[in-house]
Amino acid sequence: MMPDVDGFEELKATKKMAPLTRVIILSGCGDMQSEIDALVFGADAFICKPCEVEEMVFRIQRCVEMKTL
Amino acid sequence: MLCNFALPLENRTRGEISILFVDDEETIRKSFAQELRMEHFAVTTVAGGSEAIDALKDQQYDLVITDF
Repeated sequence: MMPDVDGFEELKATKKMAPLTRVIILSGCGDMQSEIDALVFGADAFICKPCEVEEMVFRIQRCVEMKTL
Repeated sequence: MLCNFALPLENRTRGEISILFVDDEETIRKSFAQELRMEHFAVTTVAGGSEAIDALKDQQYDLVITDF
């Protein structure tokens, strides 16, 4: 959880200010509801921490390859 | 940062992809930023959501990676 603006608020603000910017969520929890909520609010990918850099690079690559609708 | 926003994201090199990495834990922020830079991505880091929003007002990023 971010100390100032929480993750959902940041995600919503990002999608409002920069709708084409892809967002990958890093989360320490394995809570499926958080993942669903993040996807509903426009997240493009969700990674549970701890994660290795290889997984992060893979997710980045997948996001980059996604076509803008 | 030399990001060519005129090109579609999928047609750019890694160095032309700008990433904003947001995490309140300094060790995570620094280690992932270093690793991603070694993978040739253009990475900027900030420590929190409000800093991230300020950064997005100042500059366009292709990708935001954020702690939840």
